[in-house]
Amino acid sequence: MTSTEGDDMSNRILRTIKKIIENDRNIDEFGIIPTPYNLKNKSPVLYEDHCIGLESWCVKHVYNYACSNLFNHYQQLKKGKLCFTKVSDFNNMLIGALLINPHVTTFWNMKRELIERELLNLDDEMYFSKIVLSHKAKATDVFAYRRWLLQRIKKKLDHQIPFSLIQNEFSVTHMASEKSPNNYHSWNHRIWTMENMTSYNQLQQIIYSELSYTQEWINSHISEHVGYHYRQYLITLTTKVFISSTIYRSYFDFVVSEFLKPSGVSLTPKEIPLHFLGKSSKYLPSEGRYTNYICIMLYDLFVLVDKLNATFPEHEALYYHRRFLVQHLLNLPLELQNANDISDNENSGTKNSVVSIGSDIRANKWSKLFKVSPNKYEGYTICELVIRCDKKFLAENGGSREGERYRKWLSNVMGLK
Amino acid sequence: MAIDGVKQQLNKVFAEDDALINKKLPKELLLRIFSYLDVVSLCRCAQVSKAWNILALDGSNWQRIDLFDFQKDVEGPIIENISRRCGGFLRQLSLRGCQSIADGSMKTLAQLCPNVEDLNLNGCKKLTDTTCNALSRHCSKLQKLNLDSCAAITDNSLKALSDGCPNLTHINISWCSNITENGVEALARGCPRLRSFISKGCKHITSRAVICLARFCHQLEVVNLQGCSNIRDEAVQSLAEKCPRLHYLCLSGCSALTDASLIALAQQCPLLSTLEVAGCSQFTDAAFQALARSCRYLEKMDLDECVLITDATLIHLAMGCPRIEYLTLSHCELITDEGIRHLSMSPCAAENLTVLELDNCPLVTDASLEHLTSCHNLQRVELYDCQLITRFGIRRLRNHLPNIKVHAYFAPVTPPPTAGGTRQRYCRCCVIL
Repeated sequence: MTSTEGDDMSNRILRTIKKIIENDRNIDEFGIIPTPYNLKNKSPVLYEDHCIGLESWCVKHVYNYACSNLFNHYQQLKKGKLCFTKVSDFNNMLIGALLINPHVTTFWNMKRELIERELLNLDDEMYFSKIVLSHKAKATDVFAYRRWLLQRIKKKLDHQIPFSLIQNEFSVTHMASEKSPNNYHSWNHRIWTMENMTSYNQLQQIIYSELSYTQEWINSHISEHVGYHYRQYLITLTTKVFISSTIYRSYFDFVVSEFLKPSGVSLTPKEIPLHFLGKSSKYLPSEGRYTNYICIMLYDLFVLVDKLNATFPEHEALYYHRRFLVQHLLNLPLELQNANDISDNENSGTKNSVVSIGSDIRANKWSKLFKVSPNKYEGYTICELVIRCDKKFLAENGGSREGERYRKWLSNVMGLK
Repeated sequence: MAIDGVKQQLNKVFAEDDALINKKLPKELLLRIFSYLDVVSLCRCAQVSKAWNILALDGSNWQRIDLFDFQKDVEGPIIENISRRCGGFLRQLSLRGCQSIADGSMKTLAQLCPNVEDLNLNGCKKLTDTTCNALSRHCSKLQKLNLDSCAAITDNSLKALSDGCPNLTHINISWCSNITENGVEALARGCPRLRSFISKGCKHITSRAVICLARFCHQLEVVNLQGCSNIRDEAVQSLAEKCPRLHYLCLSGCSALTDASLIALAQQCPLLSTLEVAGCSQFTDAAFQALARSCRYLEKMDLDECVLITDATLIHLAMGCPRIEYLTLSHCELITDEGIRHLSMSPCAAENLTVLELDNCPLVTDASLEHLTSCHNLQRVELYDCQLITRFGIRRLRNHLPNIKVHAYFAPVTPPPTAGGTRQRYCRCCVIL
């Protein structure tokens, strides 16, 4: 067959794919189906149950056709000579080429160009990029494109982003994370969504639901570092966003029933930091800001990690999460004190004191790394709790390889015996 | 120095109006020459000298303007300048695809160019009824108007046109989804000379609109009602009865139509040359038999998705319509090799048949391809998804008809050479980026 006939076939295939995407707004998946030979004169586009499949024999021809024509069309577009009947052809080719190979930034940029000229619809593109992700879940360019689209949508909506949009974004990243293990890109995109698409008022509520989402995720993906990393990001985020009225009940209740009830203490949420951090709590930036932070960390340490480690022993990722929790809990009172020392000294404002802080901080850092004295943790309820928990943990897991490494870390880095 | 000399000479030639060409040729002849130039050349000539500027921009050169090539750049002020320059000279103007054009500049145009006869506004999406009101007030000589995809147009436009433009012969209101039967009725009453009426995708056009059209416009030759799914048999019947000169009719997507429509057409429109009835799935062999008996001039037929037709239709067409060039039978799932055999033996096959579309006809086999070898004029055959067709059959057909294009879902045997070349270009581009 001559080249034009192959082109005609490719064109028809591209049109078919476009038509399916246009008519079905719930496509789950696109995939390439290995079929080395086509013996029958049959359409290579398979469509069943909201899934599109492309037989592999035609991929070469379709992709070649798209690539060799795209640049022509693009040049015409640049000159403003692409008549509107050809725009849809152009888009068909982009759809085909990007579904087959989403790693070509140039093609995504052509899409951007079309959007800037208002020849494509933002919602359609969001949907299309989701289909691409179902095929290649780790394609950075797709996430970058989505972020670009979201920013445009945000501008269009005048920063009034409906919650459904954020939810949709979360479900897309969830799909991408499910499809490909340790999908750093999708989790990164999730963090980006948290930071750029949410409003301050919503954030507290979203963090809470995300916390329970990550807990579920970790339960079923025990050795995926990315999941833990995201949870750690959420935990640190709780201290930055704070509205005093929002307390994460389930974590707070856990702390109350586990640590306070037995010793007969009853506290309001605001008094939690005071109880656990003791004297250093007077340096807290505002009352109750650290309540959620402390409660979640304690919950993770005493329940989540413990339970998971019992069911799935010897998982490095889990141990690293434990290290994160222990380190942050132990250092919290010290850090608060240090930060306060610095600001105190800054307030006094003399040259001498500035010099002395510098040396102070350095000395502090050194001491943290090398000659830590275990008694620096003394006097803080929270530190005592953590140390007690670690002792019990090591007694149970001390013999194993990971347990041994953890013990060394505790004694060498954290300075605990 | 030499270059300076040449420059001076050139300056002399172009600076003075008494350059040689201007001396030798009288202005009338220059004007005549200019009248053959296209827009770009005229604009270039206008920059040569003052004298040429006046001549090139003379309204008489600007009677017919097509700005399609500049669609993205054409803005309001350009139209206003053109209308000022051309004035009464302007006869024909195409602004196809010039999306930035708005009502204001069209109003100026209508006021300054009252003699415009043919106006193409295809895809000027910003235009509204105001434009048509201005046209109706000032341009009574308007004959052809294309409003394809001007989605803001409503019935008021058609009413205005019917008042002010009685000479209208061609109108295209495709995809103007606001238009209803009332607008069409007004148009039909006001413009009895209408010869061409095209309204693709106007969902609100009903049978009553078409009946009015038929009653008042007996000269209709071209009617396109593609996608007007509310049309019923009575509309096509009255169209057939009142408009005997009909030669182009498109009813694709009017799925409510039945055999009665086709039989009426067969009885009263013997001149029919193009009939497109894609998606009219209620048509049967009986109707096509009647049609094939009386409409002997049929050249192009689109029977896509007329799922009830069988080989009988093909047999009748083969016997009755010797001029068929273009035949689409996509998705006609009952067609078999036997029908194709009759078609290929008919007089039309040997001389006229150039395009045959058989995609998604599952019963067609290689035997059909063998029959088609007798169609010497055949240039293109579509065979997508005919799963009984094999590579071998296609190769054999191609041996007999070396220039034919066969479209099927078979991968080309050798990779196309052009694709290889451009692929390299694509890679280089990626490296640069």
